[in-house]
Amino acid sequence: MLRPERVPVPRPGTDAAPVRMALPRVLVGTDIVEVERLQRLLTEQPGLGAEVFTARELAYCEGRRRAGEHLAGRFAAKESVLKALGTGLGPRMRWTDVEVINDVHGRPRVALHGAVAAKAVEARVGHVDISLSHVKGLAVASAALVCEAGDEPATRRDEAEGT
Amino acid sequence: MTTSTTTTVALFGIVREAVADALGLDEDEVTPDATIVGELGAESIDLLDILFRIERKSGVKVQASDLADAIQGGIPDEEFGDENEIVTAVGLAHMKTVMPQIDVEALTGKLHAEQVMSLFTVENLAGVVADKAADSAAS
Repeated sequence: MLRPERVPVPRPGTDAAPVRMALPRVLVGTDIVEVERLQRLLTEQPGLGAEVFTARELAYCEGRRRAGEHLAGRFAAKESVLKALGTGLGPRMRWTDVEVINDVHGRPRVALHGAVAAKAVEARVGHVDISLSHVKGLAVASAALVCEAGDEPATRRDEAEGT
Repeated sequence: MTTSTTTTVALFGIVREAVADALGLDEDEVTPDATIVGELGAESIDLLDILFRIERKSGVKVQASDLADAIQGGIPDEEFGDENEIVTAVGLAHMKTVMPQIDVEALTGKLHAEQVMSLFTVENLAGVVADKAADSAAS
């Protein structure tokens, strides 16, 4: 779990370095997809499924009563993660680099691979969380990427005053 | 990167049709200088649709990441953008080769990496497709 790094508060009037409170950064992204649009693309473009979804994702969705919604939700999840990273589909990245996997409780989690994983390491991403939903032909996903604390100096007024 | 002008012109018709069909626009609205993500409002799913339509009509496969590859030109991220992810002079100079219409002077020190794709035009896409076609023919 990420915790803000704290430095002992200096006494007022002393020569001391400023109080530093390094806080984790949270990057967020959201995407919404028309289910029917994605289903039509998958039907018209036979190669699209394998390019966008991993075998594991396709296996999870196929056979489910509302497979289209699940696939659309996963596509939105991929895009929301990429938006949060600020890259979109950047150089050498693949849609399959962002993989949605359901945990034992059925909750969707994200596994990063390839160039997207490398970008996440560069951005010091410590944890990725997503949330999916569907209603009336639309699938929406939100992603939150929690990044390790940086070196931004900050002071808290109460501590700086030595209280 | 070299671009065959003749090939780009030949492919432009295919690209324009693909963009129009994917976005539900009249071809007249898909002008060479129209920005795909910006003015024409394409989103990621639209780009997928456009690129697959181009492949089906031209036989040239272009993935979404190929567009970013072309724009960044193999320049490492830390050289393409500064610590605030503002595109550097090196990055802009390369972008100019792929997107000749950009005003480098006006963008210097101001263009955030996230905004780069918003400048990408229909003609720029045709150029990338043409380069891909040339690379495939050469290999």
